[in-house]
Parts: sequence; structure tokens; C-alpha cells
Amino acid sequence: MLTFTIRQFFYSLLIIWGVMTVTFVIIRVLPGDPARLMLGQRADAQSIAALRKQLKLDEPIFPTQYFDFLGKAATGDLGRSFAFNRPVIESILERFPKSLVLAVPSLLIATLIGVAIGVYSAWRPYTFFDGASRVTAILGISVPVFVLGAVLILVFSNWLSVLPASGYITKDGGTNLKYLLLPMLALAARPLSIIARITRSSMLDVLSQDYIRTARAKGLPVGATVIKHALRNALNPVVTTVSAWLASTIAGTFFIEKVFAWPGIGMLGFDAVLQLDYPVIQGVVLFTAVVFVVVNFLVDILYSLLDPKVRLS
Amino acid sequence: MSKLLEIKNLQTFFHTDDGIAKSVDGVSYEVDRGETLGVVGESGCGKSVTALSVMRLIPMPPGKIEGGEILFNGRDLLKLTEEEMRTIRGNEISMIFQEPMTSLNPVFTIGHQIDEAVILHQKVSKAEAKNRSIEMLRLVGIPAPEQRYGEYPHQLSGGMRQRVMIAMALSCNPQLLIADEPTTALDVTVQAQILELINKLQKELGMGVVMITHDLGVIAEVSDRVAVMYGGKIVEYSSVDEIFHNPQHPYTIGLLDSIPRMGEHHTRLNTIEGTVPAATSYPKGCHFCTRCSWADQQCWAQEPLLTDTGSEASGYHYVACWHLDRVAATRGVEAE
Repeated sequence: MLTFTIRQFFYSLLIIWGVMTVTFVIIRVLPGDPARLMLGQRADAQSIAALRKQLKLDEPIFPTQYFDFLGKAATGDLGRSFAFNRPVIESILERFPKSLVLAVPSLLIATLIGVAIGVYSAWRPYTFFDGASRVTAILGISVPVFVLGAVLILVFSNWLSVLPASGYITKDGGTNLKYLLLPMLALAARPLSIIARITRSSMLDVLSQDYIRTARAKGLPVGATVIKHALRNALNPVVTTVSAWLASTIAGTFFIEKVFAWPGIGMLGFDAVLQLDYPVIQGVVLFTAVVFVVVNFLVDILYSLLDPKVRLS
Repeated sequence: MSKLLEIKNLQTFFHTDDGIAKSVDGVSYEVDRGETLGVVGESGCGKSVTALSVMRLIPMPPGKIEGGEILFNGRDLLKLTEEEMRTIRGNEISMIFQEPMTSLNPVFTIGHQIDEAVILHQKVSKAEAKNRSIEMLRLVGIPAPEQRYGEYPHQLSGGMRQRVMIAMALSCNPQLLIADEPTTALDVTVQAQILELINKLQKELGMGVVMITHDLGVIAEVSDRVAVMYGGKIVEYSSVDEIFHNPQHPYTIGLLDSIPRMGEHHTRLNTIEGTVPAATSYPKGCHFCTRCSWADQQCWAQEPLLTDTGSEASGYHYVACWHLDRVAATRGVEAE
């Protein structure tokens, strides 16, 4: 287990380095000059050159800029934002909790409801409920989140006027569950659908296993058989799905945050791309990669708790 | 006093896309306390479905018990509620299965899985259940039971797992044990141990046993009487001596002929020509007529009934065949 952990750690470093390099290259390949963008169209060549010098954009991309980025990132310094002129790490740490507030409950709901629907569908396959959940799930998977977000705003804010269309903070400064509801729903739809489908197929497979018959032959009630004996065994693919979604929900809520004007890390990244704010883009992507890696690492440990075969080997 | 188990004219059908599969069609047999009934037949002949019907564990849908009675101590199991049935499963009637490698839940310790049955039926505390489980593991010959108690199924061999299944099945002192091919997946040496174990425990506990197998060797070793099944029906039913020394149904004869014997020289083993028809398309008459060398028009058109052909000396001997005389005559010629 120790060698496994160490190896996993080095793989993680490798992944993060890869992500940093790819991001570094891609944003510099993008057309446009941050300095020009910041100073506006009418800026003269001299001030642009001055700003470029100040932002160190005049230095060679490789090796100077690249190693500067890597070296500083290793010490936790992600540079200063071009646009806000403040340390990127500060912005990220300020925005990240807001993303968490949205992502964690949203995925929690998606998991609980998704697993419940999946279990029931598998227990009573080919019934009306199963069919209805299948159709809904396919809808949930195929509708893009920003479309779903817009529809939710249209229905609940414009037509019914029961929930605010966007925002995070109420007038008196506090936040409110009301603001959370729509983006949470929009964000939960896809993972919920996928989790429901995965749980269903995994449960169907497990329910036909011999040990389920053994449990029934023992005299256990159907409920205990389904929940205790089947679900435990069906959870592995579900955990994989949830973990993949956990990372991408925490880190990749760009569209949802934009649609609902939710000031999380996704919106930070989104705006940074529009402004060619290199350090912020790099920082957000790097941070996202780290979140991914950490979550996956934790999931590996969770597997071993679920499966005695992994635990004991 | 009523018999321990009496199955009367049981019909279990599966409603599939290809039509109705009459997996069990009019099967009757009985088992009494301390007695072993061997049920023998090829895969798909309905022997396991009959057993699962007794446990009421037929997957429904697509399966359905369409008719008949299953009397256990005189009570018709088919009339019980699911709730009442649960107090019988694993308690009064236990079952062990063919697949020891997959019949135990991989995420729970074997101890926990035995405890579960004990706690459920005996209403004892966890500590008492643990004692009982360890005692059962010892009874079925598992070395170091205290240590094994906390182990997971994947840490045990196939033979050990089947012992665990037996320990689990017997943990609540059932009156009836249904063993569905308990030794098929095991090594020959382990097979013998498991059969011996079941035999020994049967004597100690006085249970009735239904031994389902396709292995006539197993039948000869453990059974008091034998039901030979083919195509969802019993074709021959008698004491184990009669079946082995005086087989009358062409199918039973074919089965016995296909066993290689010591001292006989064979270039090829005898087989029964053809394959079992699908359960959705059994012939109208005798189900064996598609493979029987004695079959004629009558066999195809009309179903032979199970009739007692036994004499006073032989005791009961039920056979379902139209042409017993012709079969016997040919056999006589062969024997000479």
C-alpha cells in the first residue's frame, strides 16, 4: 500500500506538470495580446511595449517565461493577475469556497437521488417508473447545462417569479438558499442522470448474481437483500462516476456559474479567458488539475474500503 | 403424520419471448425425514427449477408456478405469504447451490454471512450467533474456524467455500436440505468429502435431503431413491437399487450406458444421440421421443403417464413409457 501511494504521488506530479505545460502553450498560441486588450484599441505602441515589459511578456516564452511559471508555481506563487493586479492565488482562494457551496450539495443531491432511482429501477425493471426514469435521464444527459440553466431561469424566475434569476448575495449582504437552488438543479441534472443509469445497470448485474440468491435462500427480506447485499457490490462503478463528477463539478462549472452569475472559480476562469489574463487562466487550470488529482487519490482509498479484495492485497 | 416434503403435480412455467417454457410440468415426488432423494437429469430438465419452486425463489416474472401443491409437513408452501415463506427459507428448508465460488457475497466475511441466518431465525444476540457460526464451521470440517470466521470468501478455496455454504445452510437445523449439484464445481477428492459430510450431518440431524445432480455416481452413493427427470417431467422413479439394476425407461438406460465401467474396453463412450429440445418446444407426446430409438407414432402423439410397474419383490417402480415391453425385450437380447 505504501509503494502504491508513493507511485500514485509521482504519477500525480507528472499529470500536473503535463496540464501546466499544455495550458501554458495553448493560451500563448491563442491570438491576441493581453497588453493591447488591457489598454484598449487606441493605446499607442509605446505604452503597450511598456506594459508588455512590466508583465514580462517581452521575455522569451521558452525558456524564461515557462520556467518562471513552473518555478513559482512550485512554491505556490501563481503570479499576479494582469486584470486585477492582485495575486492569482488570492482570487482563487476567495472564489473556490463559493464554487464548493454550489458543487458539493449539488453532487450530493445528484448522488443520493441518482442512486435511489437507479436501485429502484433495477429492482423493478421494465416498469413504468423504469421507463420514465430512462427517458428523463437521457434528456438530462443530452441537454447542455447552459440551455437547462436558461430554461430554469425562464420558468422559475420569469414566468413563476419564485426564485431569483442569478446572483449570490442578497441585498442585506447574506446569501440565501434561494440563490443556490436553480444553479444547483442545473448542475445536478447531468450527473444525476448518469449516476441513475450506472447504478441501474450495475444493480441489475449484481441482482442476478448467485450470492443474491443465497441471501434470499437464507430467508432475508427482499429489502435487506437489495440494500445490503446488492448495493454494496454495485457501488464500485457508481463511486467512479461520482468521483469523476465531483472533480469536474468542483472545477468545471464555468457555464453554470456564468449563466447564473455565480462568483465561483468557474466564472473567474471564464472571465480570465475573455481578457487573456494568462496568470489567472494558468492558475485556475492548475488548481483544477490539483483538485482532480486529490479527489482521485481519495477515491482510490475509498475503493479499498469498499472492496476487501483490494484492501487485503 | 404427514410426509416432510410432498410435491404434487407441480407446474412451473417461464413466459419468454419465444413462448411458454414448461420447465417443470407435472412433477411429483416426496422425501421423508432422514431420507435422501436423488434427482438426476441433464441440464435444463427442470430439476433445479423444481427445487427453486420449493423455496419459492423462482424469478417472477418471467417464471410462474402455475399449478400443483408443495406440501411441507402437510402445509402447502404455495399458499403461504412471502412473510411466512421467509420464516421457512434458511430455517426449516435450506438450500446449497452448485457454484461455491460465486454463492457467497464477496464484501462480507463468511462469519457475518452465517451469523445473518442465525440471527434472523434464532433471534439470538450477535455474540451467541458468532459462537454458533464458529461451531458450524468446525462441524463442517474447516480448520481454525475462529480465524476463518473473520475471513472473506476470496481467501478460501472452492471446497472450503462449499463447506461454508453447508455450514450456513445447516446453521438453523433445517428439516430439509436441498443440495443443487453441490459437488459439480469441485475436485473429485473434495467431492467425496463434501458428500460424506452431507451424509454424516444428515444422520446426526435427521434431515431429509434432496440431492440434485447430473452425476449418477453421486446418486448411487447417497440416495435412498431416485427420480429421473427429462424435459420437465419425471420419467422414472424408484428405489436406488431398482434404478441401477433394473432401469426401464429408455432415457435412464441411456444415462446408465453412458457411464464408462472399470474393466470394459471402450474406444468411444456411449452417448444418447441428439440434444434436449428447448423447453418452449417440447413434442406433444413423450418428451424423449426425439432422441429415443424405440419411439414410434404413438410416442409422438400421446404422452405416456407415470405408472407403477413394480412387483412385490421390487417395490414401487414408476415409469413413463409406452413401449416398456419392447425396450425390455431389446435389453434382454443385448444382455445375452
